[in-house]
Amino acid sequence: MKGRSTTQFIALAAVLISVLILCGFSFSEVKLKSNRPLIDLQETVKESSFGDDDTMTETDTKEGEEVDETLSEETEPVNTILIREQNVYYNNIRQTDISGMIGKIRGQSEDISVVLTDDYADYKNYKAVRDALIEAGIPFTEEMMK
Amino acid sequence: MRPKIAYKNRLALILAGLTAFIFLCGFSFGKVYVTLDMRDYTLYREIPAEEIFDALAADKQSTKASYDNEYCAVFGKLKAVAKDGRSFEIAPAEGFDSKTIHCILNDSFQGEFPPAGDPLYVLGKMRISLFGAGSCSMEADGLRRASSRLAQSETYLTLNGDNIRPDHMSARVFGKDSITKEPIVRLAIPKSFEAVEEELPEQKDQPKLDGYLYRLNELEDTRSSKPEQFYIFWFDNEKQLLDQNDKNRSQDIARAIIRNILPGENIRLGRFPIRRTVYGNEYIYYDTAYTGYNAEFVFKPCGDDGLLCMLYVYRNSDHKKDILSIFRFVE
Repeated sequence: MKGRSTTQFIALAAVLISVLILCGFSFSEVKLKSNRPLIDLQETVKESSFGDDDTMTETDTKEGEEVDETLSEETEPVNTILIREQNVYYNNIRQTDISGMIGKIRGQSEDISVVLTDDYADYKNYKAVRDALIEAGIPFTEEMMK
Repeated sequence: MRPKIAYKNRLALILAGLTAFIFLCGFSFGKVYVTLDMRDYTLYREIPAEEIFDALAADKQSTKASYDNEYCAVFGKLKAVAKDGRSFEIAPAEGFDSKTIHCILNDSFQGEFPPAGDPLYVLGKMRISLFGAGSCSMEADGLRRASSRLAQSETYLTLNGDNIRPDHMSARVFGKDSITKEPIVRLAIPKSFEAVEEELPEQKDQPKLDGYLYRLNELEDTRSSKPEQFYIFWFDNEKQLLDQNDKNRSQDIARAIIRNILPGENIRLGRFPIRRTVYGNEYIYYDTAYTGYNAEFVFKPCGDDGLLCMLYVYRNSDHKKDILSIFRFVE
């Protein structure tokens, strides 16, 4: 029995490795002659920013359940994801579980709008929402951004 | 008997797992969104219907080589529309119309047909058949009404009404063939880009890159405070790869370039490589974010010589159409 399970394990490993290779996974990385950046994005992006502040900020939101905290000021239309002041709101309710939120809106993806704050300071949430939408197969387009 | 059943179960589990894995891989790769998607702004080469018929009559093999699968805007007159409203025929705008091009509209078309006999452009993908005397058909993406031919010189039409002329663009070349000394890649950029073009600066411990940076947000028609930058450069395998045995690993070289420019980037399986065929050329895409900006890499592998690399960094993609027009002229 032991011999057979070892053989099966080796066969399974071989098949998985073959699949990974077929999927484009590579075990050895290509190395460049120099590790210095080919392009210094940090420098060039800042140079032309006309004084725009692109500081990346950390959020203080916690993973977990939806927080019942509605926006006190003007409200956004339905099916709108609003990213403002380091918080994410969906249908005007503050969300802390972005994956869960994406799950809820999956069926309404055609009507989804993403609203960002003017200064884009809340980059981490923006990226999280954007990546979650893309991961969920909901195209993130410029038209979604109002 | 029991071990035999357990073995079968295990085998079934392995097969199910593998099927699910392959299924997931295939589907996740197919759904990844890219910003510089040619379908958002396709350039169709302008050509009158009679020119295609003349070419077919002269040499159907070379006509197939020139036009088959090519995105074309064929000028002719509407001859007939089928009852289903999805297929129709066009004939040369002038003269005899015994020869026609059969066109089938794709499902997204919502417009209306002009009256039969009216001139129009049909924009879509051309199909050339060598059967018999040769024939052509089109997978039509849309129609544009036109009272006469728009241009006699080389022009490209778009579905949203733009007309783009290559003589209003500027040629750029990248790379150099080690034997012939000829450029490896030729393309054209919009002339307006020249105002914000600068050569890529030399970086410490790196050979100078053969390429340009375009600060598009600084163009007169934009002047936005939000950077929108387009980089295009040639990655020379011989100059920049540590191990020359890696020359044929284009996909892994592309991955190494991404990691070089965005250190610490977590490139996940399923998000890379995204492959797209654009006007007959194969490209590798990678879409990500960089400190508050969208960042999209596009690579065109060029054999063992190197890769043409493009990087679009933006918040508002105001010049997306201009960049997409460049892809039409990559040779």
